[in-house]
Amino acid sequence: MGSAAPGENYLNHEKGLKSWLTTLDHKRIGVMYMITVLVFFAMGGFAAIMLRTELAAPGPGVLGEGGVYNQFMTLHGAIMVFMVIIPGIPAFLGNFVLPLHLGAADVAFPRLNLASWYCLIIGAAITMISLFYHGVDTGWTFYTPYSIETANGTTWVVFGAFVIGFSSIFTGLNFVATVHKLRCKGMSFFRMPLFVWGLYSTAILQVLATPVLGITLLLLLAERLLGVGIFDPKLGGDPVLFQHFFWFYSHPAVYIMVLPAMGVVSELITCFSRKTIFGYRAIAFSSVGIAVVSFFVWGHHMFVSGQSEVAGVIFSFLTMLVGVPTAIKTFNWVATMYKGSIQFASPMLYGMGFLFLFTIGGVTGIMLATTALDVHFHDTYFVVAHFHYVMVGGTLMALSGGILYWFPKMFGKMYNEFIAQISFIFVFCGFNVTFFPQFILGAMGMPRRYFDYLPAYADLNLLSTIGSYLIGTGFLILLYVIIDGLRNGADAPANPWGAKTLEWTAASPPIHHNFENEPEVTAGPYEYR
Amino acid sequence: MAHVIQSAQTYTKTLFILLFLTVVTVAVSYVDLGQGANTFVALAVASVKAYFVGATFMNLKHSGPTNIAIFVVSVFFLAVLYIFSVADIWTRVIHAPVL
Amino acid sequence: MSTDSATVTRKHAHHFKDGEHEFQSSILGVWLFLSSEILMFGALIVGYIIYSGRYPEMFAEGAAFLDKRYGAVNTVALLISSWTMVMGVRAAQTNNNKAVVKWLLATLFFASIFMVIKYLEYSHKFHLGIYPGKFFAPVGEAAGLDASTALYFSFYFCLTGLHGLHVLFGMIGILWVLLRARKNEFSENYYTPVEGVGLFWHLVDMVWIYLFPILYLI
Repeated sequence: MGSAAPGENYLNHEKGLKSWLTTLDHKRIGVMYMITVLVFFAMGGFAAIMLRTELAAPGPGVLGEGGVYNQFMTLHGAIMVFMVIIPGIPAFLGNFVLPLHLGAADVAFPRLNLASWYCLIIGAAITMISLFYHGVDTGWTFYTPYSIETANGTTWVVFGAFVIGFSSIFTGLNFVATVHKLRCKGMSFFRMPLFVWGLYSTAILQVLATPVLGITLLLLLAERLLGVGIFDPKLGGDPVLFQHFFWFYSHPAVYIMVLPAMGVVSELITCFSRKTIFGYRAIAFSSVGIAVVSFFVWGHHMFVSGQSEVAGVIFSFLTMLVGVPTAIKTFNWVATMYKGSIQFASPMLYGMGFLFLFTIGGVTGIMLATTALDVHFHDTYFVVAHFHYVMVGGTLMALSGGILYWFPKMFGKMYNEFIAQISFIFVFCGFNVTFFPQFILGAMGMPRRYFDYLPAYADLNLLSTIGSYLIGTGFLILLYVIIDGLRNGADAPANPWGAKTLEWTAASPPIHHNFENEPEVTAGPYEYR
Repeated sequence: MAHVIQSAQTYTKTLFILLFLTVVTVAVSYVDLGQGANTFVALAVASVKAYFVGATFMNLKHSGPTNIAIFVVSVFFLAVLYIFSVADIWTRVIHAPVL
Repeated sequence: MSTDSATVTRKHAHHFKDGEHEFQSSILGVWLFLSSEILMFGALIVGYIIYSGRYPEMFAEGAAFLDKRYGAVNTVALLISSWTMVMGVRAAQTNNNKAVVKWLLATLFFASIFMVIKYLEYSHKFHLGIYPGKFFAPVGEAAGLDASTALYFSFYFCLTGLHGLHVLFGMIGILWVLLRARKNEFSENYYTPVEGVGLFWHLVDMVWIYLFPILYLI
């Protein structure tokens, strides 16, 4: 590793758009993912606001009749799942931070890393072509036989999602190889930061589960274009088999969404409690444990699909099992905070928000895992509330906390702490106002994916819509914090938070090859006290 | 880890084993042992062939535990996909219509 | 065992310690990619197995239309091509670029035999009106086929089509390595692309090792 000129960092190492679009630097690729994911988040968020505006009152509203609503509903889901929450933390924060956490100069395969980003961009573009073909109205889950017969746009979204899948596979492949091969001197597996354990477990899922989605989407394309009949009951196919194949990926996918988030939370909690993590090995093993068990539980999405009762019982039991390592993590985080010296900096607020919201999401997941309850809750707003609690209350909170935590490292600037705290208040309160009523609506029987509803549901729906505007405001404020920080922020020191992981020993922003000399570690990552 | 360069003889011997097993599996397919037994023999022979391709041609014998683990784990989860799917399909009860 | 390759400086990417580190990492990366391929092909094969268990007579009716002699020749062709491929890797490991070119040419030859036989099988089926999915319209000798066998043949085309596509990808990769060998790029210190492409090729062979009995023999 050579030395950089004073003032030189990865941002000014080379100039010009072409240097960004052909970069092999994991930090630049991480920043490109950040911009990409934020743009997609705005698009998916816009769709969400449209949905909630329609649902503010019974009867047709701003979106007219159901067909348009279904398209917005599908777009909201597909964009958020495939283009925001799955790549969000691994491809953006993970790309930037992982090599720094390991004391490495880059990921194992930098060119593959760039290819990952292009797969996301190209796949997203293909998906958007569907808008010119009457869109898609199947929901992001593309259940057959409807997805075989419906509008032309479906073909494009399915094909686009297939291409996006390669982005995920390549990122996962890269991260597994990086963790195995590029740890610096002295960094054994059990001295790695817990964010790395989270990314590693996620990467295993990305490599092993995504290909099954790939073949399922290819077969769906073959169904639509050639009528092969594999999932079409009219031709002897089994639509429930589509669901088996689809959820074999999509259940591990939700852990792709949340495991990196949990990794971020481990970093935030230790740093801002100024205390070493409680139960490092338990958290590390639980990450891998969650990844493994996640492959055994997919049928809990299918309790009322026509799946056998025997299978239902098996899947229900295994799903309860996956709650155990998750609970272990939560207890350990709380134990870390106990008798810690807590600083309520904005990243920590988001981290604590995660603890509270993800716990609610998690226990409602156990409720849904109980077959007898799920028969009533399936396809109601109870499910919608559950997954938003874990995905938004979980992953998005962690992503926001992570952006703020690593902002000084990534851009060499400090942001406006006070306004960042305001954003948290809007997001946290708005989130609960939006989604807690939805648990009640679901228990009252309101179905999901409907543009209209009975008058009895009106008040809670109106409340939920008001909440959605509060969340939107909160994220707009967060966007302001980021942009304001970039333009007007004070210069950041190398280690503004006094944290102990390796990235804080690099400059803010880091030089092109991260560290002047290869670091050597002689202790764990959380030696606060 | 050091690079093990296997001998040409090893590779050629492996090829002959694979060709021999191919002859065996085709020959057995002409004999009716019952659907289940035929299937089992065919897949068993295929698995032995796959072992030789993996262990010798793909050098897994000398590639270290990580690469072997990657291969084994992927086959394991494939088995999970199959086992749980058929656990559903084989235990479905067709209820007679009530109406 | 010689580890001199670790001390010989060879151009390697800056984030690796040396050429040996880069080699081991690259092979790990290739295996991770292969595990993706195993899950993808495997899921399709699982689908096939599930349906063949559901509709055994219909699958048997369709399978009777496959000629196991073609399948056997294809199996032999791919096995030999795997052997020529690994001999090519060995030639690179022993500093013999000229031999690499010869062995890789042989690999492409046997791969081409596979593709030609595939072409013959497909055109025979098309000739009899056996197309995938909704285009299935059997005529001639195939006229007696029940309409439901369209599902069987759809699986057949999906499985062999996807596999054939991967044979083509493999051939392109082999050609790329061959061209580099002609420029004497490989040696005992650097043969990573040969090994990597070889691993992919062996996987393509391994998939066929299972497809052959599943489609043609049982």
